[in-house]
Amino acid sequence: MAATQTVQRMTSANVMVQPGALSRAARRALCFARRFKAAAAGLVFLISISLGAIFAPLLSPHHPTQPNIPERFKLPGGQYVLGTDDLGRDIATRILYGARNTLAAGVLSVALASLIGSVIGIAAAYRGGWLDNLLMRLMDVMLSFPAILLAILVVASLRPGMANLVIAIAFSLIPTFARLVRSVVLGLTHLEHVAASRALGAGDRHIIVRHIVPNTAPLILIQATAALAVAISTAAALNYLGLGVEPPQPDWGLMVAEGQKHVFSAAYIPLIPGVFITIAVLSVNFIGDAVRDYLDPVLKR
Amino acid sequence: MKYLLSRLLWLPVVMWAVATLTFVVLRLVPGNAADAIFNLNLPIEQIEQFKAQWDLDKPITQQYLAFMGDLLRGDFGVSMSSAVPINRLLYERIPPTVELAVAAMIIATLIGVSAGVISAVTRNRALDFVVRSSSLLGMSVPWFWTAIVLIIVFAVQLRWLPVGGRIAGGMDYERITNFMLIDTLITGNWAALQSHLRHLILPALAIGLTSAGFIARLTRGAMLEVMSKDYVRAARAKGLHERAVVFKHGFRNALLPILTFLGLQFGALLGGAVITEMVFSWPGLGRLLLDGILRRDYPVVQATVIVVAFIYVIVNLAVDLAYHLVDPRLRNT
Repeated sequence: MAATQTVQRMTSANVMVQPGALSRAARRALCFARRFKAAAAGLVFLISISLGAIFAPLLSPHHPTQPNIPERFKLPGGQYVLGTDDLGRDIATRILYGARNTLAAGVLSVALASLIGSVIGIAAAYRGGWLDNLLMRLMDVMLSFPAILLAILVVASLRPGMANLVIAIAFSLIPTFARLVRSVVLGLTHLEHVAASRALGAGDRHIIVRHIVPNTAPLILIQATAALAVAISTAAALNYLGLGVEPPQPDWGLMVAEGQKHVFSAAYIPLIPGVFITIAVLSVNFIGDAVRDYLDPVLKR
Repeated sequence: MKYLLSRLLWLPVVMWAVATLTFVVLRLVPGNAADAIFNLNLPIEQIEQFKAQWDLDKPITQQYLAFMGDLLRGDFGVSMSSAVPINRLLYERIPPTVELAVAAMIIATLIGVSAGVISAVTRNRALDFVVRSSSLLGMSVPWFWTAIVLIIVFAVQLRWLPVGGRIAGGMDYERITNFMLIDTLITGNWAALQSHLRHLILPALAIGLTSAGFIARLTRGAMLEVMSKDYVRAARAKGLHERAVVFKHGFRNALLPILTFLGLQFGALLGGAVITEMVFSWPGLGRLLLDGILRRDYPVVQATVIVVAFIYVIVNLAVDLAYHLVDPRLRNT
């Protein structure tokens, strides 16, 4: 119940229009939240952790990277909610700051991949011919690699770092977006209203902007939420391998890697960041399922 | 038959494309691995000497042709950091990774497919709910973290299984194929076999559980779709036992999408193996790849990536061929 209320508040706060529209949007959000409780809970988690990450300096009195040796290995509970690590840094604080890296890497790479993938998909379907062939064969080759391996290859070539991590993950996600968009657009270009629009003298740009993009958007959204779960896991994995964020910067995957040597004495250090990765990915999966269930009937119609 | 032949003929083309893309990404991206070496603070003569030694002073097309020529002869070149022939490194590192991925695949398939079938049969009842939530959880847990949780529970707390490695230290066995399971079996070295299996369980579980989640979810969907078909209703109507309906009419027909998905999951499993190897100090391709990246040893990175992608391509081809064995409708095409 608390979850639904928060969602309602969040949604209405974002809309900021006339009272009628506001209550309609709120009612719709409430209805969505009632139908998809797990997704609503996931959304609440993601929104709160994002707000926590943005306002981390205000929320926490501790420094995310500065060692504080006298306070090392403090168990969760008490003064430090989630304990301190082997350098005496507050784990809760590092989780909040770390969310900036983990979640941002996921969101940015999906945004980049869906954009580039859509352009490739539209270009391939719309132009057809040799360009279609060339682009799609290229996508096939990219899909011949296990996705995470492709990301590792790109990061290896560009050298580790946060920006390169985003590029690498985006690169590995592009082919699925391109293929999806291409197949949808191919279906659309043969529809009557597009043909009618063309007969009325509409140019390519008009057709793409007015007919193609709005009709592919819901599918891209479904694909993007699914890809976000993958992107966050991949970001966490690459950071775990030390191919992303550089220490002492906090990141959830990196925190697991750094804490791993303490499995015998202080197992909470590697365990806690993993719990956050899992809940974040789970939340995205819940939302992805809900978005798909919600949009699917619309698409079928 | 014609289809199978065309698929087999297509294989070298796919492999060529995979190798080329790897080469291009590693060499043509600005600031790539080969360029990075020249940013080191070395005297000019030394850099020149280094360039000449690794043919990096030649035009890129010539480098590419040399690389392709070597690859055709099955030669992956020499490691830049250790001067060891990469083929020897691969001979040592491929078997452990394949072992791990296959063991994980078996675990993932057994758990995933049976959970998916159970979930579909008990649709919307408590058991279905349990399976669905745990498969979603399985899908969401990162491999490396599952690995650490398993280590903490089974190796550190319960002390049932070892923390890492491929076999107990000091234990020796005769190397023939370098697949430890096969070697210890044919030489009848039971102590080594047992030790190896004990080391294999946790890493295989860590990778397999994630995939089991995905497989269970897909199996449930495929089963539900088949079970709503008319021929299933007909089978029920003629009074067939529910078990026969589920397995003979339902599962056999759901097998096709499941098989395709298993092939695709193998790619994820290979990726999982690459990462999980780091947690368990498993001496496979993943460790080789990461060491190569950290040492800027791009011939090693190149070789490892190509080999892993080749394995994936071959597995998917095998799945495609298996398709034709399973589905009689496709057999004569």
